[in-house]
Amino acid sequence: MLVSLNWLKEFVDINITPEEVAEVLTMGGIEIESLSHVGSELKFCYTAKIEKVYAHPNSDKLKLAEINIGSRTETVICGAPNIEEGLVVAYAPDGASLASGMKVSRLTIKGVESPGMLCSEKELGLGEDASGLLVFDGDTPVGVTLIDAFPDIEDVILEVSVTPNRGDCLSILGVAREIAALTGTTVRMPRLDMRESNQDVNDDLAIEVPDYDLCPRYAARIINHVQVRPSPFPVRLRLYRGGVRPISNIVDATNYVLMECGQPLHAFDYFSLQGQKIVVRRCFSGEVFQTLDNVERRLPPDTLMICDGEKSVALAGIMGGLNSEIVDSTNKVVIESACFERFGIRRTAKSLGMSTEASFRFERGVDPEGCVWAANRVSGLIQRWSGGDIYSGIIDVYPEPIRRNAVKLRGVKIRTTLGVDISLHEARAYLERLGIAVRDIDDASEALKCTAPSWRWDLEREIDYVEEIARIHGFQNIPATMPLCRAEPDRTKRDFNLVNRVRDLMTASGFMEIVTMSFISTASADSFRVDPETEADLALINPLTEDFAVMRRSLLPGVMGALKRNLNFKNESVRLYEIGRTFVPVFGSETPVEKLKLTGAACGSRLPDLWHFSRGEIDILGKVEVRPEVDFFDIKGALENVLEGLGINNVQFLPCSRPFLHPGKSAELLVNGRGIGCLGELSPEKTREIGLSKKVQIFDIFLEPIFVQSHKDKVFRPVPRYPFIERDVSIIVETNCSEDKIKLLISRLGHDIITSVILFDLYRGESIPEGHKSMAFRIRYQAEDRTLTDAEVQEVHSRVVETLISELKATVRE
Amino acid sequence: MKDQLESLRASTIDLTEQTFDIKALGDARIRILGRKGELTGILRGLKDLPVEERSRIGQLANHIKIELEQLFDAREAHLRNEIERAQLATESIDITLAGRRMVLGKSHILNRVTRELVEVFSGLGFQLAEGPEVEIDYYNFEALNIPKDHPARDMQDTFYFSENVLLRTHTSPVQIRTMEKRKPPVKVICPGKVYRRDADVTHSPMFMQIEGLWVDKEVSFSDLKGVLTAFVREYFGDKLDLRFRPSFFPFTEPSAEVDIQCVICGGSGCRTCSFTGWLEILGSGMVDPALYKFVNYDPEVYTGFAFGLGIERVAMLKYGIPDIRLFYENDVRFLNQF
Repeated sequence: MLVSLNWLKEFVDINITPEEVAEVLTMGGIEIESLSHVGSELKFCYTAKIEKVYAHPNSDKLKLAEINIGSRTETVICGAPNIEEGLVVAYAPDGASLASGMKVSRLTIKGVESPGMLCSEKELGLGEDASGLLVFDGDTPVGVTLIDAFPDIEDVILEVSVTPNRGDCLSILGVAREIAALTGTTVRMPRLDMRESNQDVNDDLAIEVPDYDLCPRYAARIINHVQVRPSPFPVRLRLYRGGVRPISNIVDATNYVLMECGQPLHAFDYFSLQGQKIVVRRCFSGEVFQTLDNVERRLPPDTLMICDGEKSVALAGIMGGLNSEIVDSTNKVVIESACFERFGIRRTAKSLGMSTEASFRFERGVDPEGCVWAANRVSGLIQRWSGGDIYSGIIDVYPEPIRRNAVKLRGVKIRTTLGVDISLHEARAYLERLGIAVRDIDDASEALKCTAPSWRWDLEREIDYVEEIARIHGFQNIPATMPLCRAEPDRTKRDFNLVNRVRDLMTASGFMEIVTMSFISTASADSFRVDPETEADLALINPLTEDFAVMRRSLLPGVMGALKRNLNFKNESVRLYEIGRTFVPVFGSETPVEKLKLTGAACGSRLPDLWHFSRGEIDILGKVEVRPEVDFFDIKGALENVLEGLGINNVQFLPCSRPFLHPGKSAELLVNGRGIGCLGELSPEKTREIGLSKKVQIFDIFLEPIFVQSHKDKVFRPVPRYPFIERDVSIIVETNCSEDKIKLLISRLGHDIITSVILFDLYRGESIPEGHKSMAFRIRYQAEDRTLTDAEVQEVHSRVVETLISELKATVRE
Repeated sequence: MKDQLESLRASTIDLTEQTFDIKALGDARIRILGRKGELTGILRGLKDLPVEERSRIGQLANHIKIELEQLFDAREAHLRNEIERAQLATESIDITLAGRRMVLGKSHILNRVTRELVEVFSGLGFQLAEGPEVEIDYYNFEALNIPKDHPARDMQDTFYFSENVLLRTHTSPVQIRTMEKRKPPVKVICPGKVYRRDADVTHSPMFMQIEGLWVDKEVSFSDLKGVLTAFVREYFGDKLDLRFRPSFFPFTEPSAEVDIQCVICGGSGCRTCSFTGWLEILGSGMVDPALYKFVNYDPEVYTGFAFGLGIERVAMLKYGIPDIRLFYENDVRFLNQF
């Protein structure tokens, strides 16, 4: 909401600077988002009277105007269509600045010199109209600066942000009340200035409110013989500065009073109302109504309508109807000043997707005791700006006056909530500054009885009054203390710490952590399903875009998206991981299961592109690879690091089948015999489908089962005290013979003296028969209780070699 | 004979000083001091001397021998040193060449900030609580004193799965879930992802918050001020000023917005703080007694405070990041900077 400081000053004395006003309000809970000084640049512009208009000698479109600026006359060039002799307009002479920052200078156009220019309101920054000259009322003094003629031009505009509980602050009056309370002064209301005629309002209008549950109060006045025309310039200026577009004097008057006191008003054209009456009732089922913005709206049930004797004429509290709006020929108007029930307006506006200045205020609560004042105020203004006869009397239907409950406020509650000693005496003074009625309670309870003023809907409970006291006392005057607490063991951070441990381990393996959106497109969800039949998605009713349509069941779509994005930036080597929740709908449950996953992808070169690695590595086929690409074993290694780092021992990698993985280069990861995820190379088909040109290694595992295992305690094993002996064995076996199988075989023959078996060389290619591979193992022999002898080791080792030969049909290489 | 010895001594001293080769020095040592060396040669005439002179000369010869041995030792050590130094001079490497390192990953800046915040609040005595991201209306709104048809619902535009099921718009539902499960004292922080239907430079449809809740006997607004002041000073800097100003949240009363002195300009006014010198960083307040009804706490016995802050906002301020969308674009060139 935009608030004029000049306007505020009509309601409250302000003896501090605008900046101080902003500070006081902000620190009082009415946040001032910005403050702008406006209009002072117009101090070199003058009012001028157009004495004569004649043609420009060399132009059809331009005119010359002889203008009177008090002490002298000038002749200026002007192209505005509404130029006319006798008008009082704004003149910007050479050297004056305009709203845009433009400086006016002496100009020669088609052979005639102009010492300045006549301005539109747009050029002056005083309105939106750029179609012609800004024309002042005929009685405006001529030859004075614009600011002298209209002091309001120079102003300070505050941008006020009002919280939803403070509907009472959505007006000049409301903000003025806050300033008064915060600075310890009082507000004054403008003088009502209205002359009523002899005609009784009840002669021409009757009001019925059958549905008064949705309309506690409805007041109306009639004004006859109005003349619809533009409002006077100062009025238009106030509306414009407040962000409201001026329309006509009648409509402007209702908006002006709305801005002034927060009471939404509506003006009907009297002659468009049938049957001389207004009925306030719920709409018919399925009713369709055309609002004055020219939209046909199907009304939701319980919509409150303003009707005449036959038809609906307004959507109560939200917007008028096209069938009863004020038009240029209107000469008799009905002014509505009502208090509609807050939640009813809220429901209707929400379900129609509408929010107007009126509905915004009704939803937040208007002052039920302000209706009559506002009706009188607007009638007076209409009379002043358009002429007209105000019918005597006001129709005021208010069957059950709204009363504010008295609330008991205890001193102890103030102290315990705020942690500061504020006496009841002080508290009372603070509350009374806010217009709250305070009475003593005549018992020993040390409490006050408080009753909220009619404009405050948010003061219903003791705590609400405690807050008011804190606000007026000033939050800055409440000390900062530390709460006392009893020491307690904390077991709540275990999983949080484990997640961070996983992060550290992934980081050490060179993976970059990403965070992708929890919602994804249906298409990308489809691309990583294992079984489309059973894997339903949790879909949003109102997604932001189709890219965010469903909750992810897998982090893979997001990770692949990020991978692709980074590859597009010409990153040759990318390793990414994400830790996040997946959302799997559960039959029979409203909400999905949320499970934490660790998912990642890697592609590109294994080693940094640095000088140390430029000689390359020897690969499994015996070739030297200068820039080896990451493969299955890189991600397997990363996962092994995570598992070891979390103290998980019982880990297996078994062949797996996932539609999106390479069948021969993928594995299921098992911890304690339970599958927790998969890893491997993306299948060529999926790689193409996603639009990647490189081989990609991925992994996708559940974290919670690992965390459960990780909580198990570790048991100490003695550090070996006796030396070890190592023996190597190099064998040629068939390609499909797995390392696991051989290691298992060797370990089983070990009689507890084989403590480790490491594959230290693996080779295929030249000198190895087709379909075979060469594997070299280093076996460590060691006993816990003695130094092993060569003979002892040799015996076991020979048995190992023999078994490998017999069981695997291996050939031993020398 | 004494003269002979003295002259051998003098000539040997000269010789060693002029020898620069270890091998030549060794040869000279053998030639002079060896079993068949010059010294032995001179002493061969010893037996012809009178007895008393014999022992005097003998003694002298011994001293000279020891002296010369030491002389050779010292010279040899000196020469070896010289050689090693010369050797080292040829072995120098270009120490400015890049170190040999594997790729180092980074954790995401938002998760890092979350971790830091959890650590700071842990130090202040807070425990941790988490809750589901897909919530039901009751926890996200109803039990937080945001009834249906209340304008406060406009403060947060919500993603829905059905009329009752939604993506949580704040981490505050975790407050209710925690209080349902435990009796006071409750002191928890709740980090997590939250969702609102909004997307621009400062709004992401998914973002992260951290929520704090402290409920016990005799917890007051002044304690809220104390704890948040301690947090701000610990995390943003010792000398940073902060201010509490009244605001509105449906689930706290009194409610306070917390501003910190602008971390960019130090309070003198700049673009980041819109020339106010202050940055809005936290929403906070005393837990509204209405919430206690939902979790069966006695509002006459317990009071408490709650606060919430946006992780992105903290990171943006701390590192001068201009656009919230950068956090979720996952461009390695961005992620790598932190």
